[in-house]
Amino acid sequence: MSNEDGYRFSEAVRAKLADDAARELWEPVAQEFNRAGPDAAREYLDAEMQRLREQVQRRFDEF
Amino acid sequence: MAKGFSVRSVEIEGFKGFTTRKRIDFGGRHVFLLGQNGNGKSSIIEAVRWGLFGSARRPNEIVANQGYGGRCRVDIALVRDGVEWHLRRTLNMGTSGGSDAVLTDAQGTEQRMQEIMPQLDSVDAGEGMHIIFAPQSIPLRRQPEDLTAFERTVFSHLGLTHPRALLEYLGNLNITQESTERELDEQLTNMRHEIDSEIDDLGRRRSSIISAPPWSGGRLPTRSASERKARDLIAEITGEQTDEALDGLSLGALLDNAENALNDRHDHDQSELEDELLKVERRKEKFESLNAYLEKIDQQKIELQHIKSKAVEILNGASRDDLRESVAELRRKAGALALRREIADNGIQLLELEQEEQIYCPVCAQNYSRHLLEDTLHNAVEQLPEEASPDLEQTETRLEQADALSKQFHSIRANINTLQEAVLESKKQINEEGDAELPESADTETLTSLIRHYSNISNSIGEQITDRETWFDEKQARLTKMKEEEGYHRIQRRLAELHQSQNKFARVEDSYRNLVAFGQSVRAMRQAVSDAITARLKEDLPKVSNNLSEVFASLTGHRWYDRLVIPNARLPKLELRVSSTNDPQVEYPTGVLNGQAESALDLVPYFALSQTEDAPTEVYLVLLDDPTRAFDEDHTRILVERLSSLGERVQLIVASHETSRFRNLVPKNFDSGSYVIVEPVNWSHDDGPELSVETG
Repeated sequence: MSNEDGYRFSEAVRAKLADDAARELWEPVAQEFNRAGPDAAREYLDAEMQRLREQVQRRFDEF
Repeated sequence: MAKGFSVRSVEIEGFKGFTTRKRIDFGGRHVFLLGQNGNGKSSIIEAVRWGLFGSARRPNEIVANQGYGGRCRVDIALVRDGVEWHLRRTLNMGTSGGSDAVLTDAQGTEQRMQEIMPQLDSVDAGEGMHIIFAPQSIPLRRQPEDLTAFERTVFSHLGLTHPRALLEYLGNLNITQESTERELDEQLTNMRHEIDSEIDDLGRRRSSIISAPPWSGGRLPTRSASERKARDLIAEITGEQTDEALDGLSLGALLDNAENALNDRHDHDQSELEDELLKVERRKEKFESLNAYLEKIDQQKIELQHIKSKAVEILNGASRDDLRESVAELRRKAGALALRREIADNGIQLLELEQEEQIYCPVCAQNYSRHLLEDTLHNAVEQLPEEASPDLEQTETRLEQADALSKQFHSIRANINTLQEAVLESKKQINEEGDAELPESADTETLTSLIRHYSNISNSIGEQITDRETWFDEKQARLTKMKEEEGYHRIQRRLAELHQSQNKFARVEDSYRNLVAFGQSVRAMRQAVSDAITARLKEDLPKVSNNLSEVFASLTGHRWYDRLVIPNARLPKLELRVSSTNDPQVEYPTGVLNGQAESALDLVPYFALSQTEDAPTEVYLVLLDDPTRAFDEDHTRILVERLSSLGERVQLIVASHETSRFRNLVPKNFDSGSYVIVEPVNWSHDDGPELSVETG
């Protein structure tokens, strides 16, 4: 899959995203996907989820 | 043949059926591995596959030859544009099943696989359509991503491998996310419940205190006011106006201090008074006891005097010995009289028994007239007094009374002696224990006065004790109210803490909502990715289905099922079904096909979808292990014709036990010099197979 295919795919997904928040999240995911494929997108999402979980946990601990 | 790497040779050692190192030179040509099963054809196909991808056909499959002592390795010589590269894969020692691959260029310099063959390095065997492995048997389990080999091939063909992988990942992420959300939601709900419950509980307790406040006045007390009251209370209890040690103490500590002071004061004051009271009471009891002895002695003495008077009266001037002698004399006289009367009575009875007129007296030795004797005896009886000792009984009674009085007298004297000893002992004790000497002459009057004195002291101490108890109860009541007041302040403080916690907890909930929003976005993204893939599939699948149907019809020549279709209903799941041009509306699962058609079906995607020039990997290679299972001669011919066409674009490595058919068909369909026939024969445990290589 060439980068061009990746961009086309990313745009197709973007067009189907009605939710603004989801579209906002998709931007960096698509960027990583187009740059280096699904593994990079996966790493980005894993890191994001980890960050959010840690934020909850940290505030929980502070609480 | 299309551009890309092709396999020039393969060198196998210690892999599957191979033991010592053996090299098979393909020269970049197509390879037909022929011969009977069990001689190592599949080992060669597997060696190429493992050498390229590092994965065995099945998970946990043992690829090392267990009877061989050396290393397990495969060295593949690859050629592109006339330049030879070497990919050497060696199985790691131990049980992990992992391996190390080293790629070297024509100069023998090690190169990074990720740079030279990035796609080959990132895909698995069977994923790219030009890297095909038709399994000899059905795989034992599904792919970890839950994609069938068919789906992987089609997605790869359509350039959707990466989007499909992303979709799969998003699905897994959703599952993880939902699980995390559930776990956190439970934790947060519990925590929120705990905070709210405690606030409710404290609110109720606060209302209860305010409805019957322990403080006076309607206003709610401030903490400093309560602390001031607590200090005042301590000052009242201790009697000291200021105590610097109390500075800076909390209300709770001040009340502890007050309670300790009150208890100390109570213990000290009360115990002192109670000790004093006990002492006075005991002394009073001693006097009472002594007084009781003296009174008893007096009573005894009166009794003694009374006995003496009675004795004088009974004895009437005589002594008890005189009485005793009188009694003895009187008793003797009475006995003599009784004896005389008995003798007279016996004489009269004797005369009544005797019939003679003359009665002989053996004492006098004379005869006496009967009448004379009778008269004499009767006269004698008549003259005897009625009672010889009329005073006897009275005298006996007097003597008995005198004896009894004497006994009583001695008993009372003994009692008096005992009591006097007790008096002496008691006085001695009183003098030993007391502060002042008790006079020897202390009588009951003195003692009664002393007892009254001590009673007064005792009453006075009792009153003091009561006063102290009242004082203590009043302080204790104030302390109890102050504690309630302190409870009110504690509730106020805890409520303030909990309201702060609520604010902090709101931050936790905010971050949780962020996580939930992230999950919703991921779900929306997954749906959008799925929709985008589905849209692409709907666009491209008709052409794919046509290609599949064309190859399927030619490979099988089936008279009814001549079309392959992928229904839109379950996209992006790809399900292959069969249909007939005679009845195109009805689609059937592939299970309706016969054995030959089902075997052909395994090959269809690879023939049908290899028309594109865009290879997903750098190695243009098709590996087919026993593709003609259940094929008759005619269909084998069609397959070889197809392979010939496929062979124009990729290198083929095909294994088949249909030796004679392939030896007949291959030369007719492949150009001379474009292939080699390798026949492993005479396999042995120690040396593996012998290899016969012919260039076609």
